[in-house]
Amino acid sequence: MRVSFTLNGTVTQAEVPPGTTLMELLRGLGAVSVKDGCARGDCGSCAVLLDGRAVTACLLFAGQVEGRQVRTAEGLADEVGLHPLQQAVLDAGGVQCGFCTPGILMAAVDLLDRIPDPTEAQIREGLAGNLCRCTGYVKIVDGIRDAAAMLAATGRTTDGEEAGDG
Amino acid sequence: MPLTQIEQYHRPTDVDAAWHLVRDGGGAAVLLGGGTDLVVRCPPAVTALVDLSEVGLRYVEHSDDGGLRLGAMSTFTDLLEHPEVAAYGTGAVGEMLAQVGSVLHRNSATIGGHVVRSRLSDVLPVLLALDATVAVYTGEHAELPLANYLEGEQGPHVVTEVRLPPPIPGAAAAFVRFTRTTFDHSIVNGCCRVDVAEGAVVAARVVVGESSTVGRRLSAAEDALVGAPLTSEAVAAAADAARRTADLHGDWIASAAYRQHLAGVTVERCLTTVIDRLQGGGA
Ligand SMILES: Cc1cc2nc3c(=O)[nH]c(=O)nc-3n(C[C@H](O)[C@H](O)[C@H](O)COP(=O)(O)OP(=O)(O)OC[C@H]3O[C@@H](n4cnc5c(N)ncnc54)[C@H](O)[C@@H]3O)c2cc1C
Repeated sequence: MRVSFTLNGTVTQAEVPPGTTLMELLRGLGAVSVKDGCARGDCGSCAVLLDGRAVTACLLFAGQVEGRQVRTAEGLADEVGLHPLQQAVLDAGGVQCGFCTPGILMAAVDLLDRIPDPTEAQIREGLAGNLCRCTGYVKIVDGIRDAAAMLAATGRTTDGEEAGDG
Repeated sequence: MPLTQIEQYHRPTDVDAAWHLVRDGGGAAVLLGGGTDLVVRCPPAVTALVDLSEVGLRYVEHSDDGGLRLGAMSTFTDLLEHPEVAAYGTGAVGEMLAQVGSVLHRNSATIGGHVVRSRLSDVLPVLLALDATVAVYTGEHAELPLANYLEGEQGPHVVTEVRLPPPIPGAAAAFVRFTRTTFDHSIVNGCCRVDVAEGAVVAARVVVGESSTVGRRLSAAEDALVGAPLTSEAVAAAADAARRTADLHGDWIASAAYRQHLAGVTVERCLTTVIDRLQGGGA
């Protein structure tokens, strides 16, 4: 079947078997930040944004994104450099093996879009569906808090847009 | 590995077309809601998916009688972010939804898919306690109490809505669940609703569930409440009845004895919150 959707801002079409998951579709298109961890929604390492909300790509069929917007970690950095979230999590020491990082970043984008200045409890709640086996989460939480401060200081949203009008 | 058994993917644009596809598919075609259950548990005989995204069931509306109609394709996030849904049942619905899975899964899982799937549920005890009904389409529209829907054998059907009845003045409800971690299945969960008129309990719902069952009403605990004021003695009696009659099972997560104990604690905590909410002005 043919699936047409927008991937990181680019109109994309793909021909896949109808039982393909979104995770398989995205990895097949080269978006290998979408990690195949558990393939049953438990680990969150395949998290992507679907119309702006973080979902586990392993629990969706490819056909479910028809006509919709998908954003992966590949869509975070721009030509100028890393996204503030990527930079902040990296600087805080929130990346060790890195396998969970893309999914965590996408869950964090969903979080900061809803709650630009989250408390530690809100950050932890926002990451409840993402497992990290290396860091113990402390540095990741620090990084997300730093990213929130950085975005607020520069008046930017997670899209790189000027914050304000929504 | 893609599910190689799937040969067809349909995207009907109305409920009737979706229903015809599953009915005519004779077990080979299944409806697709959010997919969080189906992707992992697709029965081997299924060769066609009928995606409900385009049939127009993602909404929350008021019913004529003052209740709420939750379109089956509403995600848990849609419902949690809808102020009236979250506040329904003196906040019991919102307090439950905020604890279902993680945000990743609340962003995809639908209320319709949830009632059909009927396992490992935090949602159903709350809906049962609040007397929710289910609207189904089988060539014609029908509405039935959620409890009857869950007990009955359903043939091919589309769940179109979950309905919450008009709020009852003088009623309050609360939800509690016990888990090992935030993002884990409930060891025990429960919801209590108490309707008070002229200082006495006129109706009560005490529903207790566990990881493997959907939750059921405990009539002995409900009987312990009805007809008298909702005092701490009444709460203790209801909790004791729940502990004795919940009939929960043991597994590698918790023994049956521990679950029975938690059933009492669940009811006690729910009812204590209910008392607070009633004093705070009820619904
Ligand atoms: C990682 C994870 C954690 C979870 N944690 C919790 C938790 O903490 N608490 C809890 O209560 N639940 C939890 N769940 C369960 C979750 O809530 C359900 O999987 C979800 O609600 C199912 O909805 P869906 O839309 O994804 O269903 P789908 O997977 O799309 O469908 C499920 C079933 O319903 C059928 N169906 C779907 N929509 C309709 C319809 N409108 N009419 C008729 N049939 C339909 C499908 O054919 C299928 O048989 C968890 C699930 C996962 C994967």
